[in-house]
Amino acid sequence: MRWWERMGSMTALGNEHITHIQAIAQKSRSAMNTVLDGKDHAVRTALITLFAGGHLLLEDVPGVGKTLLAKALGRVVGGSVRRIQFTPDLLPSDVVGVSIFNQETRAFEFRAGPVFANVVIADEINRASPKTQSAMLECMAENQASVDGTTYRMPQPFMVVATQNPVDMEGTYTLPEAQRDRFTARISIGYPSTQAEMDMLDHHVDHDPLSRTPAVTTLEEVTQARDLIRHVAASPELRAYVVSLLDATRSDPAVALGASPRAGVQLLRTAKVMAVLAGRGYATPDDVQALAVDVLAHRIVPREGDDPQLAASLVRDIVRRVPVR
Amino acid sequence: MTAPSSAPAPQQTAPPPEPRASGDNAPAAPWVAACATAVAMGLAAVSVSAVFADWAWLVPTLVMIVLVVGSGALLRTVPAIRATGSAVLGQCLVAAIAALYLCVPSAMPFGVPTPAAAGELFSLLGQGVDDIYSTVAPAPSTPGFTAILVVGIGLISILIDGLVSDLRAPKMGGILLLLIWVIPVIVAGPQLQWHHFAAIGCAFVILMLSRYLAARVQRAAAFSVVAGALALLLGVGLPLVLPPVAQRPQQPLGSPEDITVVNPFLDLHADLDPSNDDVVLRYSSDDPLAPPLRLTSVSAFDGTTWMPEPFDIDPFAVAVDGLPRPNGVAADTPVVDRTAQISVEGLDEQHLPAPYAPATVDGVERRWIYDPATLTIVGNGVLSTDAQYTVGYRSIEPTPRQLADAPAVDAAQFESTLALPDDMPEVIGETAETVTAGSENQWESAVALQDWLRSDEFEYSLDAPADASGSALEDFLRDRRGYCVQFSGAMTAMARTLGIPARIGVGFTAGTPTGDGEYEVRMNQAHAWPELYFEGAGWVRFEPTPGGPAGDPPPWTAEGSEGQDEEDATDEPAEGASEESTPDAPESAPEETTDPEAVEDAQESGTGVPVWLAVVAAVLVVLLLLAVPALVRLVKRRTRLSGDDTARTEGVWEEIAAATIDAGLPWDRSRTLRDHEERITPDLESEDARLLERATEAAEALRYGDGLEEGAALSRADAERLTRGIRTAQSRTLRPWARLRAAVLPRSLVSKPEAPRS
Repeated sequence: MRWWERMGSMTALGNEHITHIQAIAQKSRSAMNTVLDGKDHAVRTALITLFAGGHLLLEDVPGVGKTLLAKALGRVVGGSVRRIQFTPDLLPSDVVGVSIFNQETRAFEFRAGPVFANVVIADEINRASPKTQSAMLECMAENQASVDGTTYRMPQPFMVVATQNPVDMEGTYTLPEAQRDRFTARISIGYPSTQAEMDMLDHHVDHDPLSRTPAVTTLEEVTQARDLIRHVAASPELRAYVVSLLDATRSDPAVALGASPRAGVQLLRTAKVMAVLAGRGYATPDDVQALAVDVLAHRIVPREGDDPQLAASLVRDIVRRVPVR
Repeated sequence: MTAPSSAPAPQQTAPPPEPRASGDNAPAAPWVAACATAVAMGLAAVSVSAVFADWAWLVPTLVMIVLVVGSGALLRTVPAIRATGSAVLGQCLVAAIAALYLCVPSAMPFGVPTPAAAGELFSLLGQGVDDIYSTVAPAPSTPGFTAILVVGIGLISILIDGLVSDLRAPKMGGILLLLIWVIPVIVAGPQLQWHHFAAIGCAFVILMLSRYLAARVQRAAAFSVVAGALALLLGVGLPLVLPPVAQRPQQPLGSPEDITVVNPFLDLHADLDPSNDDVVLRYSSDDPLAPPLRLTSVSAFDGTTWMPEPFDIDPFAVAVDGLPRPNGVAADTPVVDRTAQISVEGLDEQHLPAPYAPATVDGVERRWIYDPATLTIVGNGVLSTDAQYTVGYRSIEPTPRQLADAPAVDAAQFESTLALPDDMPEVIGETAETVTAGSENQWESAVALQDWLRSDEFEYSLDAPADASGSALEDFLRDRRGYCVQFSGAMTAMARTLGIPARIGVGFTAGTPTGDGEYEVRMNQAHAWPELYFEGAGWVRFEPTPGGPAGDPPPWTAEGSEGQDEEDATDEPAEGASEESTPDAPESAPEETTDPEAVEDAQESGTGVPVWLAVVAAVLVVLLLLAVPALVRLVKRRTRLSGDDTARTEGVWEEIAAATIDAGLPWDRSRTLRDHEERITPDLESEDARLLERATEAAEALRYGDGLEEGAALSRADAERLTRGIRTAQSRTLRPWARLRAAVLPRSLVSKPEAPRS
């Protein structure tokens, strides 16, 4: 397809838009980096997920700043931030909300649960019972919640940042593959560097790091940016490349379960964000490669055990193996 | 070719394989490669068998191959030797010693190699070279031939083994293998059979597969097909392309091309020009008869000109080995052994000047061979230029009585020297009858002819036409003016009409004495004279030319010398001893000529296209073949960089990939354009780096974006500059050998971009 043919199927994504989105993202990124020292990769992936309209899965040991990242994200976009601490006895209604009979109006009244927020932190989602997990994941997938036959839309933008302790820790229910698939990207924050940790001890002990984080953009801008980014060009060559990556995860003998078609959609969406952040109106294989591990690793199941590190290295190998174009 | 070698080794990962760093193969690999090399060389040796009529040469050759390859494999088991590639040195030593034992065992009485043995080997090699020149396939494998093969194939084995085992470059080895194949193709093209071809083809394939045999990789199949096709192409193609060397069948008598040696008879008129007074040779001789120095004898007369008869060359009739006693000389004919030291100065002839009848020649190469029928000494690819030699010759001095008593010859045996063309003017025969009327025998007739031609009726003149055709002879007999060509031609033709076998000797007169037995011969002393055959005396010289450089008639033709018969006889006893010394000369000299095949073979060798020409042609063909990959590569580059902006934008990157592959660097197709750009940029100059960035942006926009904007694509000049810069930068990192290889055998022609890593 030539570029003028592509034009027919898209609203204009002018250079000024790209520059604008780039600026928003850059400001957000700097703001979050002041909160999370030396965690640029996590910050970048979180922002990309936000602009791609996806959800983020943070998988790490406790105390490295998972919650902080999510909160900072909510702060910079000026949206509401709600946090749900998942526990084994948490019920779906505790997440989504309940209809309560109002004696005065003699009608059922919906009391929205904590999931109705722009950024929802689902802390330790793997400690909840499967039933609660699936209620949460339904909200994520459908962008809506149904309670007693009534459908309630989520506020826009809506993004879930779920954190998960490594699976081998006690008292956890592993997220099923099908549910992990609904997260656009999985990242781990990792321990800070020595210097960052010393700085953290210096500042965070006395102050709430979030108190100084300003809102650098608005919800409207983020929503508009999301719409515009959909129009970033993805050439047939690029789509073919994405498909061949997916195909490679499926045919790799070391992989028990390959990436789903949804994985491809998510990969392309994030690649588009990446392209805009790089100031381009079209995505390239570089964008795809930069995100492949974050977007694909949690969706495949290695034959030798469901280990995040192993899955990441398998994806890395696949990227190195599949010819570009 | 190093890149694919890394693929079979699963444990090896990213580092680009060095040609030498190939210890990754299983320990058995060196032996497998060695066996493959040995088998391939053995097959290559077998393919040479077309050159030879026997197989005696094969055993030492195979022993040499096994020794060389075996010692190489043994040495390479030592890690230090293997790492440094110094096994080749050891192999050279082994080959040198083996060559001595295989080729000149007799030169080492105590079984210990000595310098003398080495000298012997070298002289044997020299003999082999001479044999090559004087032989036509299929030839017996002389010791010289065998020595050349043993040494040559030994050397090539060392090279190929080094290429295969140390450098892992069997394809280069394959080219050397084809050099072996060139030997039978050039020397024995017509003898080549399918099995020779199959042998070299198998050798080639085995060599190509040697690495894969060791690594047991499936891809070998594709390579074997390619290699086989190449071998097929070369095997079938080379003989077609090369000039046919040994293809000189006998042609009908009389056609001017039936012999490639220059016919000196034809040059006589030009030579005789008085101004042509360069000294062509000097010689010293004590012969009172002062015979002319003959180049050759021409006997084939087609009515237009006289030519040497087609040569019955025996390739092993080497002049320095001695010449046989001339035909028809009876034991009781006075023969005096004499010598002449001849020093050629300004003569580039294919014939060696010598007095008749030469018996020994010393001081010339073995390439001078002789024709037993005429005792003409002919250079097989050499000229007489500056030759210095001593000729021992039998001066046949028959008495007139003996000649007078000679019986008439058997016409059937002298068909060619009695033949006259059908359109011969009858006046010649009639004149001969008239002149010889009253002669009682052939000798008297001959003398009568000579006397008549020498009489006052004839005038020596160089104004006569240069030819001696039938009509020219008719004119000569009418005008009675001419020079040696006409005089000798007339006498020869007339003698033939009288039934006397006759031919014309061509050469130089005895020249001018400079005192002390020394003579000086100038070009204008070139001469021709009739030689008539008398039973018992053989070919006897006459001298009908009355002037010019010609000397006096020989004593046995002088009128009235009959009376001197007895006095001549009194002269003889002085030389009587030498007379006795000659009868042991072989009488059976022309026996080879009775074997039709031998005649044919002999025919081919002496008269073929000069060997050097064939060698030059072969070298050119080989060079051309070697240049083919580079040319194809060049054309591909041109194609990639020409075309419109779109094509060029992609072409630049194809070319960059190809250049990288040529340099032996990995080209990883899973890398994006940006990755490649990042990798290449640090090696580039800043201007080239800027161009590369533009190339990347253009290709990205073309592939993934909105297409090329105006002016985004590199111009042709920029594209060429960029790719040249990249080639330069990458070749800087290469060793000279690899650099040459990148130019001559660009990998990108066969090798796909780097195989996926796993």
